[in-house]
This record gives sequence, C-alpha cells and structure tokens, in this order.
Amino acid sequence: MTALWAILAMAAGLYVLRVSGFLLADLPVPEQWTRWLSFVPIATLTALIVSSIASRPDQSVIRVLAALGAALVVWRTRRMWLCIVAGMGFYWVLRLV
Amino acid sequence: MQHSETLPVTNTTSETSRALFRRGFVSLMPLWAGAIPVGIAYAVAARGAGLSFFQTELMSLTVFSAAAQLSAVALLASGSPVIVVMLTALSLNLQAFLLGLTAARSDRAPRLRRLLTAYFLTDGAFAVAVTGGRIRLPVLLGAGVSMFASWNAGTLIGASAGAILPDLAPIGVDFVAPLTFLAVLVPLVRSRPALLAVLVAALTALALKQTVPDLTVLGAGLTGSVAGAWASSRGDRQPATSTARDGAAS
Repeated sequence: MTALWAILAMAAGLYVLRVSGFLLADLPVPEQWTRWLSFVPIATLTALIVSSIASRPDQSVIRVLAALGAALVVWRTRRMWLCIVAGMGFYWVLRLV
Repeated sequence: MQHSETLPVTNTTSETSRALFRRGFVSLMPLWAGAIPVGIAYAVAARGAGLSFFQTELMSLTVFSAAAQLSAVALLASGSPVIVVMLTALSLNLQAFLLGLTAARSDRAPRLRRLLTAYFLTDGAFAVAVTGGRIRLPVLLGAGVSMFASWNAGTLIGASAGAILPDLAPIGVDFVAPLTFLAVLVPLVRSRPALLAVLVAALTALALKQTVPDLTVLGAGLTGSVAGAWASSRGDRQPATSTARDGAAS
C-alpha cells in the first residue's frame, strides 16, 4: 500500500516539476535559483551512490573499487551502458580475487 | 550571419510536426541500448523489493525516471516513508524544470503541446532535441515518446522475467542501481564547483547514513548543491561566463 501511494505521489510531483518549466517560461527566474537547481541532481546522485554502497559494509572495499573503475570507464567513453557492464565486471572479478 | 542562415531555418519551420516528431523518435533510438537494460534492471529490482507486477508497471508508466524509480525501490525496500520517497524523486529531477524552461523559451508552442511534451520530458530526450540547434517541441516530444517506449519495454521484460528468474541478489544485482547513477553523474561533473558538490554530498551522506539514514539523500543533496552553487557564484566574479551551466545536465 505504501508503494502505491509512493508511486502516485512521485507521478504527480514529477509531472508538476516537468510541466512547471514549460508553463513558467514566460516569467523571469532569479539566477541564484537556477544556479542552485543545476547542482541538485549532482549532489543527489552522489548521495544515492554513497548511500547504496554504504548499505553493504561487508562488500564496501570491492564496491568502491568497482565503482571507481566504472567511473573511469564512463569518464573516458561517455557511454552509460558500458559503465554498468564494466562496473559489474569489475565487481565480479574482485569478488573472485 | 543574416542571409545564409535564414534559409535553412525557414526550411525546418516548414517541416510538418509529424516529420519533426519522427525525427526526434528516430534520433533517440541509439539510447534504447541503455534504456532497455536499465529498464529490465529496475523491474527486477522492484519485483525483488516486493512490488507487485502492477506496481512495477505503473511506476514506469507514470513516474518515467530511471533515477527516481531506482531510488524509490531502494527506499521502499528499507521502509522509508512516502514523503521521503517522493522528495528524493523530485530532488533527482529538479533539472527537469530547467530543461522545460529552456525548451519552452526556444519554441513557443500552444499550451496543449507544452502539457503533452512535459509528460515525456527526460534528460536523454532533451539532449537529442538540443543537438539540432534550436529546440522544436515536436522533436522533443518524439524523442520523449521513443524513450518512453523503450523504458517500458525494458520494464515489461524485467517484470515478466523477474517472476521466472531465481533470486538474483547473490550475484549483486543491487549494485546495478549505483552504477546507473554513476553513469549519469560522471558526465555532469565538468567543473570545480561540480566536483566540490560531489565531495560535500559524499561526506554528508556518509555522516547521515550513520546517524539519520532516512535523511541521507535529501540532506546530502542539500549540502552538496549549496556548496556547488556557492563555489560557482564565487568563481563568477572573474569572467562573467558559464553560470548555471556549470552543473546543468546539457
């Protein structure tokens, strides 16, 4: 039940967010606001990555190393799928070591 | 500057909305290679976290955001309250506001078209639409619908196969989500303020994880973004260039 409410709340919230830019395009938005907004996804993504890796303390070293390798791969190639494939590859190899 | 550029622009304007839509749809198709596997990974994770087939599908059809959906699955699995799930999803998609603002400023389309395009707005679709120079809303809509189709195809495969597949936890499927976030994050970090935002967010997240885990993502999202914005406004005292673009998606 919680899941259903969460889905409906996210769907409504995200649509409001997506449509607000389209509808407010004719009004001026303060530069400080757009500047701050532009950094929110970066910080939030970082938080999600750290939070996810920190929830598996038993594998933290392996996961940190695999993530660093995957970050290097996506930094050089700019290919999202390659980051996931390489990261899982590093992870499995490191687990065997 | 004037004459040579006027002609091609007039040509694209005469292109029908249907042709523009098709152009957007086709241009995005290379991104299916990323969207379908991640869609499968999301659905497998969602089913693994105890969501029903219907809920897994409903989320892809209505929320339509890889980052928001993967974080929601992780948060729901750890028993977070609805408000935390929703605010995290919103904070992951705040750039959507800027994308919509940019798109609507470059193509002043009728309201109904704006309302429809907004539903399908994603970073990937925006990136495809913006590569053609001036953004046209039908191109953005076509790209968005293209992404929507592949994302939901992936979800359907994962949600159906997830029921047949054995437990995938031992091989570390839960590691796919942070890798997906990483793949989105790395290309965004193109400046010192952005790097500072990453470092501050990472340290805050580590600290909160030990103390108030429910607030990890929101708290670190706040401190990191404030740090990035602060560093970026300090940097702007020198040349008055690249302001909000320091951190923006595309």
